[in-house]
Amino acid sequence: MSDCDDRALIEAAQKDPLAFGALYERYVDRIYNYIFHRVGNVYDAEDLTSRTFFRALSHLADYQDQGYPFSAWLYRIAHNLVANWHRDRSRRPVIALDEIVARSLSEQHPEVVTEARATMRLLREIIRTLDPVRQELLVLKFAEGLSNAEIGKILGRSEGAIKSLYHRTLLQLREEMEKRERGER
Amino acid sequence: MRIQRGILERFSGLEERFVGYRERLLRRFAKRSPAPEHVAEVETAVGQALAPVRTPPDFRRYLGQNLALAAWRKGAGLEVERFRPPRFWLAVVAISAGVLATIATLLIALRVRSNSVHE
Repeated sequence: MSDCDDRALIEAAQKDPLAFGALYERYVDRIYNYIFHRVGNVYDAEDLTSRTFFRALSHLADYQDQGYPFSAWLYRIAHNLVANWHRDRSRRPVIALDEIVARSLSEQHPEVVTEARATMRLLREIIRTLDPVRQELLVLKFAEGLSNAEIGKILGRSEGAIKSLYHRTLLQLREEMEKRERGER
Repeated sequence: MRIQRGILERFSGLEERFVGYRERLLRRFAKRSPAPEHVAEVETAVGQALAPVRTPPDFRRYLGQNLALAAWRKGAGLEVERFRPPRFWLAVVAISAGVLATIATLLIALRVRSNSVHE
């Protein structure tokens, strides 16, 4: 999935909107994944994914290649929609991944599953309390599998800044987990 | 002897204080720079908590079809005009009301004038 391929697809879609389908097929899974982890439920993830692609289609003529990957532009649209979603509801996201975790652990012993579920729930609770930029960084890193350089382009920071922020975020998570385990919160 | 004992007591106090300080320092240092394996554990756990999810296939297909339709409409120049916000209509109503009020005032003024001329 190179930038050259993207450029050709974008130019084709700017000339003929029907060619936008190829860009949709290429990015829908990544955008859905990103939004799902930011909002935490399927219904809103589907709604916001739809809105992201409709907005991209209607503004594609305005898109200009400024050296950033096309995905960064899409993530920026998705990010703005998710931010508005949080603002409108003025609540924190609820990440409902228990079922997924349960499915992946279903072949293990029940006690192991219960304990793992509790740990995952605790971790997700802590992630939800993080600063939005840190949450976004974790989702892009783990759910999307992006590199620090790619995340930097999306978040408008340098690769080094992302690396440092990532390390600080992990330390914060570890500290928070220890606090909760000790029953400080 | 007393002096020696006093010095020893003071030194033993210092030693205790030094040990306490050393422990506090180590704890603080350990907090700031945790062992790499601990950070790696958190990294693994976050990776599990934020595992990639699959786009529901029905939704994927449905959205693809809707986008194709919207793209076709866009290409054919059949884009639905954006809904004008209420402010636009408020402005239209306010201007219309202003124009009507002016006309009514002029008509009344003319009628009053013609009546006074006849009298």
